[in-house]
Amino acid sequence: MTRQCNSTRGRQWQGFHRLGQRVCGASLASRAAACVRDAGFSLVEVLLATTLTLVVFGSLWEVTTHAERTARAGPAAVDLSERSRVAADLIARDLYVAGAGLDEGPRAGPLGRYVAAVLPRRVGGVGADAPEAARADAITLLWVPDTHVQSHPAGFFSGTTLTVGDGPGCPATMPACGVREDAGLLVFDQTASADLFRVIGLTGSTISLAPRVDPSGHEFGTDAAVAEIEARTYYLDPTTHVLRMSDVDSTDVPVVDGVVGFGIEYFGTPEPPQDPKPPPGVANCLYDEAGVLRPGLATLASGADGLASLPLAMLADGPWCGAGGLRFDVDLLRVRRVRVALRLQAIDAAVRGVGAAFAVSGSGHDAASRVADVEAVVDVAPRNLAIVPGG
Amino acid sequence: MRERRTHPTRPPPARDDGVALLLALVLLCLIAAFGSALVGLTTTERAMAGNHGMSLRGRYAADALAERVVLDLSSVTDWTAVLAGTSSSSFFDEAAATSTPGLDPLDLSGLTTALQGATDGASIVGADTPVWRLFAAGTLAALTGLPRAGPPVFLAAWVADDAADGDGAPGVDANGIVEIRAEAFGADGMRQAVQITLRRGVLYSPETPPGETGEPDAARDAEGLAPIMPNESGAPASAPGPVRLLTWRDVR
Repeated sequence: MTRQCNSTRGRQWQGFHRLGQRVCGASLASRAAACVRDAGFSLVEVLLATTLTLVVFGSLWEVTTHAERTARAGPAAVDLSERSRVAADLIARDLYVAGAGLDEGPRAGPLGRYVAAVLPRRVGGVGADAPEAARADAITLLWVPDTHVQSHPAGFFSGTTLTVGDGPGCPATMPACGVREDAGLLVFDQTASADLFRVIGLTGSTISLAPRVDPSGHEFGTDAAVAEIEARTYYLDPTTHVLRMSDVDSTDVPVVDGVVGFGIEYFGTPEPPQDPKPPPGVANCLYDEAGVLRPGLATLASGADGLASLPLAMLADGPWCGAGGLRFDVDLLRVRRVRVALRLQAIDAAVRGVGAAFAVSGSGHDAASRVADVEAVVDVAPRNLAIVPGG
Repeated sequence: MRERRTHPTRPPPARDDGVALLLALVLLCLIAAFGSALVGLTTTERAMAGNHGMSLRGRYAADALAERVVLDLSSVTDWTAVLAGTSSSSFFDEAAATSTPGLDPLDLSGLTTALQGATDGASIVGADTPVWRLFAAGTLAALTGLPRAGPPVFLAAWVADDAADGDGAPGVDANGIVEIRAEAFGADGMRQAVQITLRRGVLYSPETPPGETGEPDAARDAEGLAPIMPNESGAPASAPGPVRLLTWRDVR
């Protein structure tokens, strides 16, 4: 560095300095000190110092902002991954068991022999779709859990008061086959009619019921089945981007946030279904009174796996089975495989960007700190649908 | 001379001396904090993904064992022997429960006792309460024949009489229906189970003309299966033959 003294004294000091320290005396020291106190910085010094400062602090800024972005994007990515896993796992587990029917009695076997266990719409509760609707962003699944409550009506039943007969697996020590209050009950028979209830009262073998869906009005005989039932509806609330789950009754809870896509595809047997077959003299959506299979159900073109794609339009064009809230298109009896595609996004808009990777644009500008939407596909052949004979 | 050692032009130590060190330390701390947070996140995420993968693997493995048991039971002439514990699957390697590398030793007797205890506790059918018998056991690698097929998984399956036959004898099959419970055990406590109900019988199709399978249409039950005809001793006909799943449930 060059000290700058613009006075004569400065020049003198420089001269002394050049002569070396040996000539420095007390008076010289005081002069030099005076010179230093007056000294500033040259333009070059200032520029250099400024540049260095900028470089150092710029690097610091870059490091800290990058770390901050990473610290924000990292948890968002983990959260996104975890949410997609939870949603996919939850739906997959319910799909696996969908259609499980009775273990015991004359109606033992998968539900799909009698009613549609997979419905492409919201059923029951607030916001239920019309039975004739089929939508890609909602699915309802039905199955009989591991339960002793598997029996039949003791007499003709139509309404909300049911007397339960003694099925082969009913506990002798408990009335009404062990039905408990608040349980869900499904009543169905070979006419493809079904009604879904909640138990609201119990007196001996007589049960008071509250309908969970619009009643079918069908009169069930003693050949019908009565079983405890589990029902789940998954649907997307597009306004809040929340995947919700309903028990087809009064409970409707959010499952996963940040869901921006929920699409369901159905695949089934190319041949028309053969069950349920009604008793002689009784017609249903598949058979006439003479027990002859109704014409009009097409054999579909199958894919590589032997199953045919079932577009939504086919699942909402009839012929219709049953009545009331569980009325269903007969083609739903073909269903053997369900593919659910989920798309989830990061909750924090700051880690979302703009473009095809983001269903909902965010404010993130830095590519390194953006977390793209995640797509999860659940492709399940429900075990209990696969064991439905025929089709 | 001492005067000369102190350079007259050197300024006294300034207050900002050592600031670079401080800045470096602060920066280092920041980077370390972010780094350890990211390492923590990555570790957690890896663990969660690993557990999820193991869980899926276990579910499929349990399913595979259930299929194997169904196959074995279809060739067993007398399911009562299975329920009595005198007949077991050809896939039965009990020793592997305690000797499979990478897995904590499993006490199969203890597992059977625990399963039975849970069934007894939940049962309301008295004498017909199912009694579980260990029927099949071994590693997933042995089941699939793929010794290097990922992390080790041990499988065990139990068979019990259904509660609905109403004979009051859980060791005797009176109606050709049994329950199968297949479980998979893996590292870090992974455990998955499926339970299925299996029935012996001839599958009936509505389009099958009456009499084609040897009995009138009316002889078939409403479920569509040929009836299980009792033999002279009152037990169902003992003959290997077609079986079919009535229900499939994963145990939650």
